[in-house]
Amino acid sequence: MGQTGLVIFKGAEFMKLILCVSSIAIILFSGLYLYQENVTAEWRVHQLDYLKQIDEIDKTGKKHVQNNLQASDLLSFTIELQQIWLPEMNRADRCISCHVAMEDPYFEKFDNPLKAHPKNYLKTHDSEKFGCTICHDGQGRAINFKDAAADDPDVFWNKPLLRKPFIEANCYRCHVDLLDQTPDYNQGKQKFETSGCLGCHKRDGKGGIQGPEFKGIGDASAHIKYPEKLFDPKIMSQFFGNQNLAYIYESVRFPNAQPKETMMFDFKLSNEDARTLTVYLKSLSMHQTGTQRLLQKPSYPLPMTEEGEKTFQLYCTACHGKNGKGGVRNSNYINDYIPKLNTLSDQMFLHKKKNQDAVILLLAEYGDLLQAGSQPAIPGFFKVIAKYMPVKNTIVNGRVAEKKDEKGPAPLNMPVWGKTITEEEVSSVIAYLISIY
Amino acid sequence: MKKSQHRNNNNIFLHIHSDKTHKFSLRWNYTFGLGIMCMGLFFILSLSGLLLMIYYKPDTAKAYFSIKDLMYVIPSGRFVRNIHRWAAHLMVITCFLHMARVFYTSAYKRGREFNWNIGMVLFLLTLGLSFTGYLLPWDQLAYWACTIGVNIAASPTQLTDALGISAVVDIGTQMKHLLLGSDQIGNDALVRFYVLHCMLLPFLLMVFIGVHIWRIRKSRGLARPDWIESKWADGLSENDLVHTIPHTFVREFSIFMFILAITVSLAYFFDAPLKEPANPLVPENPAKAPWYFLGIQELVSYSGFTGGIVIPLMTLFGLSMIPYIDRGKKDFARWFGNGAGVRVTVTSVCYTVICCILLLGLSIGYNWPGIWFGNNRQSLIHFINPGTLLALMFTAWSLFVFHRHHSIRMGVTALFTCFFVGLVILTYFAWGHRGPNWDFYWWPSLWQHH
Repeated sequence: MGQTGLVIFKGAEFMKLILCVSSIAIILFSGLYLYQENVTAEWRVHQLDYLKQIDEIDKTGKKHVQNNLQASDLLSFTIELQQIWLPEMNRADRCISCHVAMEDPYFEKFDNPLKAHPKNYLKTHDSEKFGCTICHDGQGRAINFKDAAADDPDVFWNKPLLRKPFIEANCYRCHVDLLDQTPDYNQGKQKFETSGCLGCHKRDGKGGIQGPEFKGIGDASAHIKYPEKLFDPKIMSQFFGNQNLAYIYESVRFPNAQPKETMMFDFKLSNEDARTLTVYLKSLSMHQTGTQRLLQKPSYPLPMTEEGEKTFQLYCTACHGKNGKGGVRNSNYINDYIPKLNTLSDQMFLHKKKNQDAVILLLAEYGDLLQAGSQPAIPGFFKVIAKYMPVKNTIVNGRVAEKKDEKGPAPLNMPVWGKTITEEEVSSVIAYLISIY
Repeated sequence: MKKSQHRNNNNIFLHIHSDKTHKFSLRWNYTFGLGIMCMGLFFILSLSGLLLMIYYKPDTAKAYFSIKDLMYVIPSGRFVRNIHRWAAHLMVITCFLHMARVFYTSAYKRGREFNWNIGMVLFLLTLGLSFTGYLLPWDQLAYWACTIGVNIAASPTQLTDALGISAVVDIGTQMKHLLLGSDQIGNDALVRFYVLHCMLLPFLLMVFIGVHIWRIRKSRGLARPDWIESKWADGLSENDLVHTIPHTFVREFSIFMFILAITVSLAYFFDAPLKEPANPLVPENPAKAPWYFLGIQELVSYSGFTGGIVIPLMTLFGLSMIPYIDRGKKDFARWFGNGAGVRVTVTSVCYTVICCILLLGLSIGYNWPGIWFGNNRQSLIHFINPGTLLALMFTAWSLFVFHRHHSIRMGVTALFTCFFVGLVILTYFAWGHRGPNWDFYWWPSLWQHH
């Protein structure tokens, strides 16, 4: 009995101790949480700093130059969370909770986040209308910098903040024509469209089938698409940990990084070329704005050979070489090298400039040499036709490359282009190839 | 005295408790307050859940962002969500431990058999609540964990497929459709999970908690050992009774505050996870079920049907049968009964650890039994795999213990310990050592990408 009483007594003391410690812990941690959320929150600190800066300006008596803000705006400035709410784009951009001085030119020389938005982009892009993340990416709903930038993989956000030059890609969510402000993008696009990438890859549904489509490559999920671990950290650092960018860069510059046995050629690209290509490829996103894209400049038809050059560079350069000069190896192909095409005129018996121009004119006029009828002005026109037909057939219907070693791996075949490019484009490519002899 | 007693009898709490409690029931190291913790956590969950419901939108297009807003801009939203998450985890753990406590003190005997089964129902409801809540944030973690969970529920299809009767009777797919309202997790599933999570299951849980407590009251409070009961019969134990107010209530309140403090501390230090928005096209790799189903998922990785349905159902059936198999009157309300009970428990723990390491090692090191059967006898794998072998080994061990001690109680103790420890080991193993494609890794940091 006495023993039982003793245990009870001890138990009661023990329970009181638990009650005491628990109560302190509950009050402490709830209090700490509330303190952090309501007093020391990152955005609150920045807004306080903003108010302090403005007070100092007033004290020094300097006139506070304001373009967009009225003096009354500042007087009524209250410390509170701010957001730009864009329901039709399902965006709530709270970036302005910290970047409160974004539209105040006085803060031009300040450090982020109390820095005015550089250049005059906000004049042409009303922030109330477009928000922030439509250009910058990042997590607009977050109210601290780590989560907003989402550079770290533990933030779990698919679109981390984009820095220079990669942010250029997002201009082309709305814009179609090249802009002067996006030199890297422009260079990347130029490189892309003159290197024959579409010989193997599809863009907007057009292109070869050897490689994966570019559709949505700018949205590649960090869950399945990320660079190899052994990636050079020096190169990696330029992406600020953005897995998507690093993945694109790696696949462009080091095609055999993953998978090891890739069909893609190593184009020995420089860091700069790979970077600008990454900027361009990043813009190939499925996440469009939902509004009409901005096409401003009208397009004019080009002369036939130039049209042909463009098409050739878009689809053929990667394999047949720049300007069709060949020199690209095709392993286990009976001739070792992918045929060069800059001697087409020779094979078509068109040695004279005059005759070449005449055939190009016929191609431009009829679209197909077979429609042109007999041409006595061009000597040996039937021989020209005789060569023209298999060339056109090869482009339209493709050709299976002969193996050197029967048991070896399959070499690259000439793809079927008849379904991708129009007949006029085929003719223009032939015209271009005739012209470069 | 009379006056105060009259006043006390009008107190609702004194209809839940008797107005006097035996001192033995107040020993902290008899119950560890686990039942009160479960109830306290349910109370915390109801309250925090109510607050979350105000902001949550059960719609696939809005759910994820409503959680993001909770995490970022709704006052104390992050804290309340963290509390809800941690309380849910803790409730599963405390339910589990509470069940173990009742088992090891033999407190399911003498008119309490039915209440043990009510407890089983409460445990299942707790798991159901936890699981349905898992989907609601609509992020990658939620989506794929629930996909795994639902696939486990649909695994009877493997049996009906093997028997070739899926066209006629396809229980697995029917269960899946009942749960999801569709072939895969989408808006219908989200609304169903929401209704289950916020209405049906909490309501059932409240009803069964009521029954559970009412049965305890009907059994004259918590189980007490014989030496106290005999004194009670002699009328000598009046001195051992204390007033429920304040003695019992202070303790219960302390325990509630204790578990609240644990919850609040965890909620302060660790945020509830929220990954990318759910994307049905991009599976998580590894896609893992909620942690309390990971033991089952490990079994499912050997065989969906036996691991996901047969073994869990047989375990549940066995658990609910315990009070009807072990009908002995001895060792009531005593931890492990006597010395033999401790010995059996300890040896069973060692036996289970050895069995698990052996079979897990065999299946990982030698790719057994996959390699054993080849492709043409895959259906055999449903019957012979690490899961079924473990169940078999545990049963054999308990029969051995039963014969050795000539005691059903000892046999049941061995079996319960084996399954309890086995589940803990498998859960730990699947949580810590299973990586992408369900391959073995020593630690998650070693996971190879791709």
